[in-house]
Amino acid sequence: MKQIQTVCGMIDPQSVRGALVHEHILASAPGIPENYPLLYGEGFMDRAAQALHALMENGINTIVDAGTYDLGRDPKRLKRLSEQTGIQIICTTGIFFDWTDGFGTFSEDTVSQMLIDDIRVGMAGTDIRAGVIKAVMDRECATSGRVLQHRAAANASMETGCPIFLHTASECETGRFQLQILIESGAQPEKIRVDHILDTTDMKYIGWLYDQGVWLGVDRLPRVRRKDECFVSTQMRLNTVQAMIEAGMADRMLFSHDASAVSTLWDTVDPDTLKFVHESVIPDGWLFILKHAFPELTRMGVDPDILHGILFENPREYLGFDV
Amino acid sequence: MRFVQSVCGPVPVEELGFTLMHEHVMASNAGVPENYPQMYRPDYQESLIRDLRACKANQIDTIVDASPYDLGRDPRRIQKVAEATGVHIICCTGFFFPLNPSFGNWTEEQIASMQIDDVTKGMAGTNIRAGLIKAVMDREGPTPERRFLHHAAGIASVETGVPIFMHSNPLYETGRYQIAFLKEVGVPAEQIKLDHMLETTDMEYIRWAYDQGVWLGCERLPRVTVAGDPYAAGIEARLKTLKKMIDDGMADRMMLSHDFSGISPVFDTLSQKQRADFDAQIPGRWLFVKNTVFPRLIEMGVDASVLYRMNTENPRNFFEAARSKGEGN
Repeated sequence: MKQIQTVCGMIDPQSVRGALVHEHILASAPGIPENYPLLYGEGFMDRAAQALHALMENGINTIVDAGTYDLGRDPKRLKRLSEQTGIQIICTTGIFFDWTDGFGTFSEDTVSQMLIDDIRVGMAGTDIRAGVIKAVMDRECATSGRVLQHRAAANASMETGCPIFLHTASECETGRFQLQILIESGAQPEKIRVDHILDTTDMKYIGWLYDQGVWLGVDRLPRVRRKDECFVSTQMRLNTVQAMIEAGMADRMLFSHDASAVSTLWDTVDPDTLKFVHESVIPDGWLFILKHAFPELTRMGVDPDILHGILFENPREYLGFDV
Repeated sequence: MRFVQSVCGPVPVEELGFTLMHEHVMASNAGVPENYPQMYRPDYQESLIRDLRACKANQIDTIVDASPYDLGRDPRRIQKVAEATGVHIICCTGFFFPLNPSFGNWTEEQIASMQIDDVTKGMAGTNIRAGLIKAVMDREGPTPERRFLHHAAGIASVETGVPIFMHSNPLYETGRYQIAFLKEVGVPAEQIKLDHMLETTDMEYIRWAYDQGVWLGCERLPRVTVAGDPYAAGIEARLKTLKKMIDDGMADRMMLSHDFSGISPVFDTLSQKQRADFDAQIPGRWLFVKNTVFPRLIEMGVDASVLYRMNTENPRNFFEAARSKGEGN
């Protein structure tokens, strides 16, 4: 029977009532949780717990923390938050930063085993296990380090059955390289989710991805940004979501925000920027999709049942694996 | 009596003995010790114990581990090998890399307070305390960020009385900026050690640095390189510079060390051939200074007692010179 591996152990996929599959509960940098948690600022656990409580109150009970160790993954504190709030939290293994320079030349086997240990034994010396694998490519594209990391992710997925998700640069169509490496290494398309799709509006690329049999992560809804940054706007993202649903992709779409509850990056920016982000860009944080995107998509003519299916049904299938 | 915080607790400065002031017992990257110690070679502990026992057998009593958290500082594992071998190992706080963007807009005082906690309470959730503070500038030069980090290190040093040592790039004379930045926050010169001096052969710069009243770290003896690394002064050039410095009367503030890593995922994953080339450059590993550099300098006419004092009296005086505002340092 398929199960989902959370920070508090295995759960039945049917216990998932709505899941955000790519968020950051606690986000920082490697070594910070263990060495300098002070950087999160006063009361950070309370702030994270509040955001999780709000999800629960709005009918979503499951969330994936997409932070790998080098984004400051903190399994112990995440487990505590899960116990405290009742939200089911899934942790991530994998590597975020490119290792091409400065990390030594580790073999594919060594890196694969590191990820497998995170899934089977536990992360960071605990018995808290990871339930998803992250692989990353951005504008640096298919460097030697990136190729190795993708192969290791594929190996770990084949060995454990654990699903993979990909950080991509959609504007550069890195998904094409990433899927090629993963599939060549033997990973199953139905175990792979390609994220950050909405950073492009190119339906040809999106259609190609869907045709590969993978899941499509429609996240960064909205894309969190500062005043001086410009990305594909929220309205254009919603148009793309609608176009994807109309093209029949809803059975393999997954919603998320890619937003942080507590982050050393955002918590210390100047108050004006924070106000701009919280009031203009992402009011309601992790509830943006429920409170803003869904009503707007419904107004645009999308069937609410389909939206509900994407948020409530699809994650059960994507996140579960035979253990 | 003054004490230095080693990973096994305070050591009276009189007991430091022969000290290597800038080595890397274990070097990797931020987060590696906690998350993926698999990156260390499988026999890392035996290998370190072997190296440290060799130190002890050669009357090397104390080693400074120059890895802050972002070079993979690993106080728990270092404590284990220190206990097993009896070598005093001193850990450091500070920042090697320019601050990750995830650090956000922290102030100098806030970053300093993190280093103060490492010195006064303990590192990485342990009660193992740091005994030195590291500040770093390389060829990126005196950027605002580097100035910020030097100020933070300086504030922590003034507050705790724990001395600072600096990674510098003498080819670019970064020490001129680094010392100035530390002075801006009131760090006394005798509380500062400027490292990697032997990368240059320019006696004018070295003399200038000495005249500032700071300590001079003479390490990378030899500089171990892998294919593709930039050209660096060879061991012969380094020996000549050492001789000149001693002849010019600087021996009262010089300390010799290797800047060699006992365990490092970067070096440990070299191919067998690369590894053999690497090891051949530093026969004796942490014994090279004592067993190779010292005899060579004696041949060149340096008084043996002067050499010995540079790694015994000088480290002691360096730690003793640092002035504490607080207690217990």
